[in-house]
Amino acid sequence: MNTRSSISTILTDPPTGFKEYPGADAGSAAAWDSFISMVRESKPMERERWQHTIRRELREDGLTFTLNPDPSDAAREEELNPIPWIFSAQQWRKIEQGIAQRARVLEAVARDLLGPRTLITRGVIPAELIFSDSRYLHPCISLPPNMGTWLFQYAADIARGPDGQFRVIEDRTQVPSGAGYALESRTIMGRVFPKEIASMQVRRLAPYFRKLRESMLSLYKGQPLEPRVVLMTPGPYNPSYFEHAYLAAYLGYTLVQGNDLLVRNGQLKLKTLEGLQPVDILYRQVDAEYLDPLELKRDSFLGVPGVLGAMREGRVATLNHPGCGLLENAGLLAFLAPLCRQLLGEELLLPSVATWWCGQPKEYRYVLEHLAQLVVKPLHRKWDEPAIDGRFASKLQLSELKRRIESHPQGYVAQEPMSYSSLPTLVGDQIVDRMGSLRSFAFAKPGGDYEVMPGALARSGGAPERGPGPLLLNKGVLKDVWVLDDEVQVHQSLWVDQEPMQRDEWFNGVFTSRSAENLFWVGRIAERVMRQARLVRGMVQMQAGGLEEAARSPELLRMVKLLETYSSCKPSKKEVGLRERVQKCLSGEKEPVGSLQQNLRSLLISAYAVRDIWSQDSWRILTEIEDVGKICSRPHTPPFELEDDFGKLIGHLNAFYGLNAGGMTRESGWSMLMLGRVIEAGMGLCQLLKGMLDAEPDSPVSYAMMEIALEQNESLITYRRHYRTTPKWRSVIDLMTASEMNPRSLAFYLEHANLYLDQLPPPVQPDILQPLMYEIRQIRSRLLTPQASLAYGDDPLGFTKEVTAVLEHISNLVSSAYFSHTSLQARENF
Amino acid sequence: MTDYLIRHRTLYKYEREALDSQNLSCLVPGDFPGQCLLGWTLEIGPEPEWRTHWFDVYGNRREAFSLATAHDQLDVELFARVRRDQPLGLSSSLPWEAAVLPDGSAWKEAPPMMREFVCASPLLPVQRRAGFDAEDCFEAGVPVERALLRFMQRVYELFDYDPTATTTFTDLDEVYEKKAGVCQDFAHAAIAELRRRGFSAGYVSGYLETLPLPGKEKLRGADATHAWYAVYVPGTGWMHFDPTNNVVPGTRHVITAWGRDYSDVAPVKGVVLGGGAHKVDVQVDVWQWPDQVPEEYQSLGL
Repeated sequence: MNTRSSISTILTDPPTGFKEYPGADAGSAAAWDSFISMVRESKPMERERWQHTIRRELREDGLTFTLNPDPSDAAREEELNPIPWIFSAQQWRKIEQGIAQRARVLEAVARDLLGPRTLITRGVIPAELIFSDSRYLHPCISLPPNMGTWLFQYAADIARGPDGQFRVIEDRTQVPSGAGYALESRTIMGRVFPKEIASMQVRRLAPYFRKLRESMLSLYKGQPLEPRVVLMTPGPYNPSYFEHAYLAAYLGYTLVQGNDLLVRNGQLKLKTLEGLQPVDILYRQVDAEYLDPLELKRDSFLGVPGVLGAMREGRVATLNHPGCGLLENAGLLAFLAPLCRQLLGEELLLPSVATWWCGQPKEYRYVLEHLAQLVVKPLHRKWDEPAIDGRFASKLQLSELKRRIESHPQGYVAQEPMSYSSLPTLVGDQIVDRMGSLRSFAFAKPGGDYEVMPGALARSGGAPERGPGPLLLNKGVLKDVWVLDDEVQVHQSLWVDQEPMQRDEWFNGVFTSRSAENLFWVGRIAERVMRQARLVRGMVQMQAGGLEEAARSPELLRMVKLLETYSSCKPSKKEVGLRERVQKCLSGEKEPVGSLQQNLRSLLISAYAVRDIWSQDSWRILTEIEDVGKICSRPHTPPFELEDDFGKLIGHLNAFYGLNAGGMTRESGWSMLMLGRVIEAGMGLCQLLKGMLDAEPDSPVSYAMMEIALEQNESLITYRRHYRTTPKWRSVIDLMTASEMNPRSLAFYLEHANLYLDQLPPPVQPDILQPLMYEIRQIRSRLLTPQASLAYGDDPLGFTKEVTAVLEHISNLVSSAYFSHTSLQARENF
Repeated sequence: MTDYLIRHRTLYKYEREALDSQNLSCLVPGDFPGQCLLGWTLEIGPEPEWRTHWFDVYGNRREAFSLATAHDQLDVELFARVRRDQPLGLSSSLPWEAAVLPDGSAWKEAPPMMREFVCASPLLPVQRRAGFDAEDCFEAGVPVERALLRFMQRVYELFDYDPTATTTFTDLDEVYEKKAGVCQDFAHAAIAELRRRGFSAGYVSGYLETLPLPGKEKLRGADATHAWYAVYVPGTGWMHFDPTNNVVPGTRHVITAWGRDYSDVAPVKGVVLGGGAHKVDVQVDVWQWPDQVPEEYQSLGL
């Protein structure tokens, strides 16, 4: 082996820490050895390919995608390390048993605290520990879960101490996130190391998710035999939105936000294009406090007013039960072992990290005396009050901390600083030790037990010698967790081995009104971006000789004006150079509202809001549109050097349409996307005609201008084929307006607007669309009279205005017929 | 013993059509020591399409209702006949130190659930400093009743009754700063400070019978909802205090509901779609039954 390509291992041996590799577990030693030596013997090029694939997949699948334009938001810069964390079957079984047992204890605690509360009245759990937690939501007490479980999903952050024992740092019961990341990490690793995964018999994750779906349905206690499930997210601006969309798409649930839902007559309903549809199971990814502005946080815009009432009526199951957030109370960690003995009659298998609740006198004194050796946190995580590690705090910080605890002891817990085991991690060209922790996931099964994911989401963080290690989901690099199995792993997708979908096929093809609205706008805005890009590319091609030279060309002047119209940019009063004018239309940040940069951003926001609808390839193209769009709209980049980039942007947009045309099912969503597109294309064409016609009303339109118009409308070739003469203005206009076979003509757009409208489900208000469709047919038939020019006679400009008005009318009517615009408001008073 | 007929009408007028209105009320008086509910009706117009009720963790009756169809006003009117036969004050000579958490000796035998009312609540977060000076009300060894009476007087003297100073959602810090407000603010200010000192204190909503000026007739709709607080003293029970009037509630106070703070017992709250700006008109009458009750309400059948 060439020494230059082999990579060195830095041997840092933390004096007390536990090393995962080389480890003491015989069951995983062979797998570790073979993987590590494979990495050691890899060539630099191979390693580069791994990293490249990982980075590409992370980005294209959307894991590192963010709507936050602030580049300092480093929290989303995910990395996935190529070296996994490997467990033998026996080793994992221990973790599995421990996690499942903890979930069972917490379920029993929830059942009591959200019901009879005997744990408090009998003094098992101190009353103040529970009552001073704002997650103890009164309206959720005695609220029936309508499921055979309170705690459907559970996750725990665990790490391994120097003694080799795993301990729980935190329990996750509110909205246990991260399972989607684990799945995503595995998917990517599967692409990079397919051979290794197969030969080591790494347990697959798909069966876990399949069983989760089945379990959810069997635990449901309500009326319908085929309960209808929606997955509720706080929306695209939530840092976990990627995961919500990913899980919704993977599990086949409709992804909804609070305003997609409402409660009617005690029943939860989904607003769809087909009208209101009942919902039976609300799979929430929204913190409970935000779930119902009527009974909980009144200023929440993420929730559904009345949803707790619907639960109380037994009409909907919410999971996890909205009271479950309480189980994340950090003080409970101190009581879990006795609770386990008392409630289950078992010894706790997976202990919590040593925890002291300051609301008890003895513990309080101990904590104050040992502040410099402990980690202190508020009872529940608060953004403005992070955990403080006493070992790294200054004297001043410690005395401030002491004061805070003294003024409100019940509000604080202290924990022994966690130690982490070290994991071999590939950093650059070296394998180094990094401390790691993992989040394990479980869900409730009928019969009261829990199924634990055969895998996990691991994070590895700082070097062992560098202070506190990784803690949070948002920190450190991701690592896949491989659990080895003795049985051969057959490849399984979510759907294999299953009865043909029956139980929840109901939502297939149902579009929420919000999704429909977003698709409509994706259609419209993509078309806007397209025409801006085409126009700029046209200008660039015309002006190989440089802009100032070209300033004398009246055609170019008109094109710049047209670009300003496209961008809703008012011409400046001052004398401004052409370059500045074009620049403003491309990279205007606040103004003009229709700048290329603004449009690209709106496009991404609308597309991301329906992330669950796009195929992987469609999303990949959207991210490419974003990339090249950023270059095209970057300020201070002279657009005239960017011919290739504008070409790419146009190419990607075409590919996006092509893919969706080829891949999207012809349902309401498709009709909305295309309706948006043809309406916008029609409006754009009217602007183009107007721009060509009205600049100098009396002078004849030049040949060059006509060619540009045809070129911009992608009709130049068609024209040449059909007319074979020098362009005549009338025939140019005829081709672009009245030609039925030209897919770039007004007649065609209007016909298709009618077609797509007709494909939409009937709106809730009947007869709202009929007059509109009549109006469209009227104006279209005027275009199609034997002499088309009769339609607009001597006033083609007036005619484009009429058509624009009809198109706007379609947009407004569709919007009021299918999209909801009224907003919620809360009122409260004496 | 006095019987009262209470009329509590809330009328919302919306500027624009409102849809899908979801409402939750806490209006129907409960039974309490010294108080008995004899009969009641809750009329809602327009007729809600859906209506249900339940009892919350404190035993208050909650009536929920919703209207899906467009409406431009909402009229909620309660009639309740309530018998009041004992004052709400209680006597205790326990030294106040024994009645405060965490170490007060009287708490050893007390039901743990009562400890809830020493904890922070949605509108009354943890107080790390005194909201106002009441140190001298709690001299060492003073009987709890005397200390709490002094404390109530301190609130009464320190805070000005001024309906323009605050709204339903004014937070506690601002009330402390302005030292002014209405009964809700008086009660909140007192409760938060009492909890800081380790007392278990709750919020009580209800009504207070007002007396017309001598020789005048009682004006219609002129009464108001009221609020005060109660302190749980282990071994004694809930001692009520009305800091707005500096009195221990007698039989002229009628209880509607109790909780940790206003947010637990808001009389009517709701969420609507649309509606625009809205105006609200609240009328309250507290009549002695049957003498003062206007003829039209004599035959309600309560």
